[in-house]
Amino acid sequence: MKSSSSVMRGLTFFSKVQVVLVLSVLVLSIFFQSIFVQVHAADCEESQADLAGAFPQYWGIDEHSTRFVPAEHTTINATNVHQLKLKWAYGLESNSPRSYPLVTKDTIFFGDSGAGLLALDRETGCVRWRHEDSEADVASAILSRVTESGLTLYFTSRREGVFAVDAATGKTLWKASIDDEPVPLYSGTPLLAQGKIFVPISSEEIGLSLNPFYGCCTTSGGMAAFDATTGEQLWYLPTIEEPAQVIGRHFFFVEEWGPSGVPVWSAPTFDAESGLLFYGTGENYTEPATLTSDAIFAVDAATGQRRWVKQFTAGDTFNMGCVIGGPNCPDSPGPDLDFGAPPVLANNGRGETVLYAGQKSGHVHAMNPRTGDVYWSKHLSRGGYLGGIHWGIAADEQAGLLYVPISDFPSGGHSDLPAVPGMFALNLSDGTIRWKNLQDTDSVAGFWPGLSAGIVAAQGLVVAGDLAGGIAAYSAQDGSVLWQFDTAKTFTTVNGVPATGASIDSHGPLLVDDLLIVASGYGGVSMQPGNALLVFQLVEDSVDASQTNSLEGVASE
Amino acid sequence: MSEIRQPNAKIWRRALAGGIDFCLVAAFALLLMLVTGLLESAEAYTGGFPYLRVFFLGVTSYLILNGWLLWQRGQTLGKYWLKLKIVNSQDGKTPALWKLIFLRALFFGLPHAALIGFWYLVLIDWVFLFGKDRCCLHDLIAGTSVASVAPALPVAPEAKTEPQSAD
Repeated sequence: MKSSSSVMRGLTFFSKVQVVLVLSVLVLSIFFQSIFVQVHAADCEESQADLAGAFPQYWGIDEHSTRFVPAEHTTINATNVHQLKLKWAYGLESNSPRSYPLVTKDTIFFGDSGAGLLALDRETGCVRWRHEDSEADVASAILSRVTESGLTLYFTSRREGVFAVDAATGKTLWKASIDDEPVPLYSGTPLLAQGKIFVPISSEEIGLSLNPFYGCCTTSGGMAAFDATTGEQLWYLPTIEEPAQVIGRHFFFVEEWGPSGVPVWSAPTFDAESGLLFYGTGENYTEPATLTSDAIFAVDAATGQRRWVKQFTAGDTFNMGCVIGGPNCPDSPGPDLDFGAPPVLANNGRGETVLYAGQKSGHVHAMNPRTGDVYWSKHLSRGGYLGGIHWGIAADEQAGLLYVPISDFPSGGHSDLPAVPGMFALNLSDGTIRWKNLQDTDSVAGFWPGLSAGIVAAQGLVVAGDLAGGIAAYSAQDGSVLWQFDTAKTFTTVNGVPATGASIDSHGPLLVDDLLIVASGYGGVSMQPGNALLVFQLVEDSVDASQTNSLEGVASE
Repeated sequence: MSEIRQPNAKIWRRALAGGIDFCLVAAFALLLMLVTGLLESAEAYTGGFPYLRVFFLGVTSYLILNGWLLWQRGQTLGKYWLKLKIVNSQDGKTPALWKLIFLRALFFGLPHAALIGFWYLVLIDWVFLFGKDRCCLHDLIAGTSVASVAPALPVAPEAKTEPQSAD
């Protein structure tokens, strides 16, 4: 065999020039790529973060998933929310950010999907550190727990599992995944309680079902518990306990399997008093349908034993093959009416703790958390496989209100009912509608303005983002809009990366201290992609106009 | 038997032959995948996309379709139909099989890799094709070239005298 030098000697002059040119372009590409990364690093001079006061500890703000921020954690309320101004914008690398921030005294932790976990200075947005682990495709809210060695952060990576990271340095402490399923998807946010981390398990088979040559489907969703200190798996409870069997064939050779599916992709809710973990499930991927799909589970958090399961939509079999008319779609596909919103535990105003669950069908169900018996169900909208009620509801026990955002994005559902995207406030006691504020679908020239993302409530208000990029604060009293901002535009960012706002979806906004933080531009499931992480801050009216203007000037159309 | 008509075949014929091979190997790999069920189960996708299994299917299909022809004639199916042949650039003979498989055929996967984003690797290989020698990078590395061939003409019979008329 010739050596490389002898190969070069055998070339014509023209070929030698080509070799040199190609190699030069490659080297220069690598060089400029590294320069590009350095230009956009925007690293802080001080990498050490003050980790005091980390908030929130849960996807649902508290372990009951109320998504209500008490006054001790936010100064934003109905009387001052109109003073919110954009403080800074950060250009994310992901165009489909799917994370929820964790905020300390001086740092905001946020997941930039495949670009990893970021620790941003709360005042300026500069980067204190980036989580270097390339496998960490952050797909959840950032949780935290104080340990002997300091603050530990937790999040899930869609394909890799749960990560525990040192909040001070950004180094991975441990990483854990389950062996019980071959292709688990860790798309839901875990919950930390009693020294354990409870991790929702979905399945990659929802995407694999698009492949007509794939033998769909054999796996189950579930819930797994790990030791929060060591990452050791404690238990795993699948949502389907019967093994999958061959139920048919297509293309002569490809075997079809079932039952399968019933993923869990939303955060669980925990009741310390009863020791029960509550979570919602999705549809079966293939037939036969099980009694556990589109249901609420109550599970003993200590042992992983089922306490009760309450199904709300029976016979719902659906996978992504149905979207393209593929052979993996079940013969009689169902409506895909998951519970994507975590169940909420709240006092109903009569001294009883009730479990509230919002479903993609547009229903809200109120249940007895000990038995699963249904107190009442309220049908609010036409629903569909993208909701209806999609990512989250909120409860204000003081006001006696359950806030329910409705998306009604055109995606199946009850076609005989009109779409009613908007915010609904129900009485916690009986589900009657206290008020509603519907989005104007006629005047919107752009995207569907449904409220799909999780919402957040505080004293006298509830804040929601919409799929068209708008974000608004509604009065708890009557639903009137107290403040609003259109994020569907380009922003000048603190890190120099061009940022565009678009659909606000997935985890939604957070209120903390005097800040409102929201990621705009969720490109998943056919929504409008963008990459803006926006931080708003209360600016008192007494502040002189020049300062206010300079803050507003950060945003540019 | 065949004879070399042109030492460096025209680019369009090579590209067409490559395209035929590309499609045939992919189609055969698909059939192999269906029959064996190699990519049909969830276990195949544990840890991400099953690159190794796809590679195995591709290599197996390539060898089943082209192995004998390469060994005997220095041709793939596409080259056979387009009347092309791989030869040693030094002596014009059919290259050793190991050279065709372990040096040259490694590059066959590049167009498939282009489908998953590695298009620049194909460009690096093909940019050399426009040189004077019409040799891709894989030819240079393997010390081969692609020649245009024509079936050898049958040995010309000795001239016969015109039959005499019986008249």
